[in-house]
Amino acid sequence: MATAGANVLHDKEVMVIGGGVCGIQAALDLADKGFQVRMVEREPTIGGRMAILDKVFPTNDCSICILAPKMIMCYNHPNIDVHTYAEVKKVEGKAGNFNVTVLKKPRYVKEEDCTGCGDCMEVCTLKGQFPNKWDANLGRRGAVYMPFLQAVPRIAVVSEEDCLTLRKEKCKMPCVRACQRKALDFKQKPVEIKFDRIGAIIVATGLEEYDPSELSEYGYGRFTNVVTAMEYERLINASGPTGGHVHRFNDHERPRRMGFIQCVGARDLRVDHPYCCSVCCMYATKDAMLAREHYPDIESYIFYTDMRAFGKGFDEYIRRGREEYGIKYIRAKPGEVTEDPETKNLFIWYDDLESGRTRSLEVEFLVLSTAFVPYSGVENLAKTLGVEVDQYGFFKVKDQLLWPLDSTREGILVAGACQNPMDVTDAVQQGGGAANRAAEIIALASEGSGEKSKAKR
Amino acid sequence: MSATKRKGENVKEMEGIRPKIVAFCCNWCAYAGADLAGVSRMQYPANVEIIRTMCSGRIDPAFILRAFEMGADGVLVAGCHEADCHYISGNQHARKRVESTRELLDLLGLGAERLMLKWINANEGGVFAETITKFTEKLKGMKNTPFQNVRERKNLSEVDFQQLVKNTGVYNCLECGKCTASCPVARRDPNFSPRRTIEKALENLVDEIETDRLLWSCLTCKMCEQRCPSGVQYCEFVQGARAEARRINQTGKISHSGVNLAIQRMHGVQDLQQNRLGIIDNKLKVKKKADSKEDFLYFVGCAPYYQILYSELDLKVGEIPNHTVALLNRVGIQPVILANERCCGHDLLWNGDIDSFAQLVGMNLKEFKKAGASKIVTSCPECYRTLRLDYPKFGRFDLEVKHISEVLAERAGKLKFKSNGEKVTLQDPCRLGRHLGVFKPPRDLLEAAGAELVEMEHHGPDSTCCGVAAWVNCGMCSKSMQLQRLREARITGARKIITPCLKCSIHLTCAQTGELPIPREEVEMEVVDFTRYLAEAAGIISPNGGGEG
Repeated sequence: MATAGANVLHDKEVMVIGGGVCGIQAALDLADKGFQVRMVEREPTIGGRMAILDKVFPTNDCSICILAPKMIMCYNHPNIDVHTYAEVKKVEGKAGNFNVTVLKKPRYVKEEDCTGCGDCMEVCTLKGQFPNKWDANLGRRGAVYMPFLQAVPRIAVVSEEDCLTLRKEKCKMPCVRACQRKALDFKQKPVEIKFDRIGAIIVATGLEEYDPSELSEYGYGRFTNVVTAMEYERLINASGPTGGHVHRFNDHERPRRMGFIQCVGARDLRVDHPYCCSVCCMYATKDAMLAREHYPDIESYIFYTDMRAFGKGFDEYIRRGREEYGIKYIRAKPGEVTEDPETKNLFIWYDDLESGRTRSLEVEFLVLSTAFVPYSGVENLAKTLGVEVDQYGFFKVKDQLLWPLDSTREGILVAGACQNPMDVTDAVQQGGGAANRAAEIIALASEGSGEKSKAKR
Repeated sequence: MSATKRKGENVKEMEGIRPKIVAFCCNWCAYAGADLAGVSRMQYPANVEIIRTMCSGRIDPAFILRAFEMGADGVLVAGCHEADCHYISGNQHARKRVESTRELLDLLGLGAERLMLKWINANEGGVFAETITKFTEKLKGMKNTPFQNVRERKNLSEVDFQQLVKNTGVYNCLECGKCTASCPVARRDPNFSPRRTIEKALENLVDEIETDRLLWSCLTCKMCEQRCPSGVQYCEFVQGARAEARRINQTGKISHSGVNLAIQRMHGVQDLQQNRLGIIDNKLKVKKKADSKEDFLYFVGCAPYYQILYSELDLKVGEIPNHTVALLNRVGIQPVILANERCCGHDLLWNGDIDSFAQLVGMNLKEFKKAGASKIVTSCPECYRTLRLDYPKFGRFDLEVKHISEVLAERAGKLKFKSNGEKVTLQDPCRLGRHLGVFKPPRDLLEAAGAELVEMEHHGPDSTCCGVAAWVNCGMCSKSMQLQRLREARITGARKIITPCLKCSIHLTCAQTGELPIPREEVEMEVVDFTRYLAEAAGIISPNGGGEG
C-alpha cells in the first residue's frame, strides 16, 4: 500500500468508490495530477467486471492482459491508497470538504504479511466446496481463497460465511500451520477509517448481470445447457474454471451448434428494464467469434431484436462476424425454449420473418445475453452518499446532456456503468472525465473558501 | 299449412299470432305425416311453422333455443317411431337431446312443457293435426315467453379503432415476433400470427383485420402478452377488434351450434324469470341480502347450465356451486345468492357481441345493488375476469371481486383438511392465471389439503390453455393442444389433473372421449374440479360424490 504524501501537490483528496476499469482510470488520472486518491472497493480485489472477461470488442484483445498492468499501476501508485474489502459508511460535509467514514471488513489475513503464495488455499479443509462468484459460480474455491489468478492485491481472504473456524465449528486449521508468514489472523475485527480531507467523490460502482431465472420461457436454471453471457465468458476464458473449453454440462461434450438470445431482460417492460444495454449485440458477436476461434466447425446463431452496433468499427465488426466467422444472425425474439429431456439439446422457438412461420432451431448450447443492472446494494450507497438513483437503480446525473458526470449532489460524481449501461471504452472515458471534474471541483471550492492549494504556493 | 313456402315467409305472416309453434319434422316420417294432414284437408291451428330436417337426430338444443329466442312459445320435435328411424338410431339421440333441453328450459324458467317430442309416422296425418291442436291449447293456457324475436344481431355500437390501437399499446410493438413464437395456435396453424395482426393494425388495415377468419382463432389466453417485452395488450385488442368485426357481420366458428351463446343472450331479456332457487342444496347456509359490507355475494355462474349441456362427460360440474357454498360455510361465510343472477356475459363479450354484453352488465349491476353487496366471490375464473376487468369498462362498478381460491387461502386453517398425500397436478386457467395473476392461492390450498402437487412442464404463467375460449373455433388445433396438455400432465406421474375452471374441465375431459390419434394411456387423466377436490379433502363430501352436509 502506498503511503500518503509522496508526490501530493494538493490539500484536498479525492475518494473513488469502486475499483473497476472506470475507477482505476479516474484514480490514475488524478494521482498523476498530484492528488491523493483514496480508493474504496467492496470486493477483496480491484478489477471489476473487466477482469473476468475473456476478450474485449471490437479488437478482441485479451481483457485481463490490458487491465492487469493498470490494476497493478493503480495499486502501487504512491498517490493512490487502495482499500479493498471496504465500504463507505458515512459521508458528511459538502463539495470541497467531505468527511468520509469507511468500514474495512476483516480479511482474517494480515495484508502486510500475506504474499499470496496460495499455501493456505491448498490445505483448506473445505477446499473446492464453494462456488466462486468470480467464475460466475462455475469454478469452486475453499473457505480461504483468492478471487482469481490475477487478483490485486494478491492477498488471500477468508470467507466469514464459509470458514469453519469463523462459524465456530471444529477445524484443525491447517491453513494456520501452512502459512510460513503467520499471516492468518482470525481475531481481526472490522476497522473504521475516517478521511477528513476529501474534496470530491467519484462513484464508479459498475454493474451486475441480470439474473434471467424469472423469465421462465428461456429455461435458465431449469435446463442444463442454458448459460448467461458472463458464465460463457468464464467458460471460454483460458484462466477460467474449464481452462477455456466450452462444454455441455450433461455429457461434457463440446457443442457443435450454439444459440445466443439477445435482450434477455433488456428492452423488456415486464421486468421494468425498458432500456437497451448497448453492448450485447457486440459482445454476443464477440462470444460467437471466440467460439469459432476455439472450434473451427462450430455454428452460431444470434437471435437479435434490433442490431445496435453503433459507432466506429462496430458495424464492421458485425460484418466480420457474419462473413469471416460464419455467424448467422436471425432477427427475432424467441418466444420459448424447450429441452429434449434425453439429449438435453435445446429448441429455440421463433417467428421466422423470412418464411412467416413459427420455427424451432435445435442447438446444443444456449447463451443468454442478459441485461446490465446496477450493482446490488446501490440504494444503500445512494442513501449514504445522499444522491439520487433513477427508477432502475442507476445513479442520476445532474443533466444528461451538459453535466453527464455530476450526480444530484454537488461534489459527488458518477462515472461508468453505475449511471448507464456502457462498454469498456465509454467507462474509461467517463473515468477520465470524472477525474478532471473532481480536480475542477476541488479548485473551485478552495478558491471560494480562500484556501490556497499547494500547487499555487 | 303448406310446407312449400319459402323459409321466413310464414314467420312474417305469423307475426303477432300467439302462441307460436315451431315444429321440427324429420323428412321420412313426421314431415310426411304433416304433409298427409295437409293434403287430407285436416283442420289444425295455423300458428305452426314447420321446419324439415333429414332426421330428428339433427335437432340440436341450439336450434330449439334459437326458436324460442326468435319468439316461439312452443317447439315440437317430431320424428319416426322408435325402431323406425331411417338412420337406425337418430330418434334415440333426439330423445336424449330433447330431454336435456327440457331441463334447460326449466332452468331458464320457461317450463319444460314448452318442448314436445312426438313420434309421428308418414301415415299419421291425424296424429299430427291432433298434436298441434292439443299443443296449441296447452300453450294458450300459459303466459307468452318474454322473447320478442331476439335476433342474433350485429353490434350497433361502433368501436373507435384508432382509440383501440392506442389503448392496447399496439404502437409499442418492436415487431420481434415473440408473440407469435409463444402462441400455441401459431405453432399449429402457420397462417395465424399475432405479430402480423399487430402490424396490420399499425398500418391501419382495419378491414383486413376485421374480415380475417383468423381473428377468431385467438384463444385470448394471454400467452403472447405474458411474453411480450413491450406491453402490447393483444387480447384486449382482439376483444375490441372482434366487436368491430361483429358490426360488419363477421363471426368465428361457434361451437356446439351456439347453444351457450343463445342461453347468454336469453339471460339478457328483462322478463326472463329463471328457476335458480333449486341450484343450492337447502342444507347449506345462504342469504338473500347482505347484512354488512363484509358479506360476500357468491356469483354462481353457468355451472348449472353446463351440468345439463355436458352431462355426457359425467363431470358433475353442477355440483360446483354446492361445493363452493359448503366450503364458504366451513370457513364461516354465509354467502348471498341472487335468485335473478344473469350470466356474466364473458362469452358474448369475447364473441364481439358487446351490445348483449352491456345489457347483462346493466342487469347484474342492478341485482348487486339490490342485494346490497360490496364483495363478490366467484368460483368461475371467467366470471372473475369479467366482473373484475370488463364490468368497470361498461358500468359503474366498485365492488371487490375475489376468486374462491383467494377467499379460502386466507382462511385455510378453518377448512380442517384431512391430509392424503395424493399426487396431483394443477391446470392454471388462463383467466385466473395470466389474466389476473392468481397462481399462488390454488397451490397453497392444495398444499394445505395435503396433496402432493407435481407441476407440469408448462405451469404458472407458462401454463398452456385448454384449447378453446368463449365457445369459438374448437377444431384440430384445440384437440392437439388438449392432448399435448394431457400428455404433459401424464408425464408428471399424477393421475389427477385439478382445475379451477369448469371449461378446462369440460375441454380436457372431452379430449379424452372417442377415438384418439395416440395411445390412450399416454393421455388418460382424471379431470377434477378444484372445489370438488377441496370439498373432498375437507370431508364435506365423500370421494364418490355423496354429500355429508
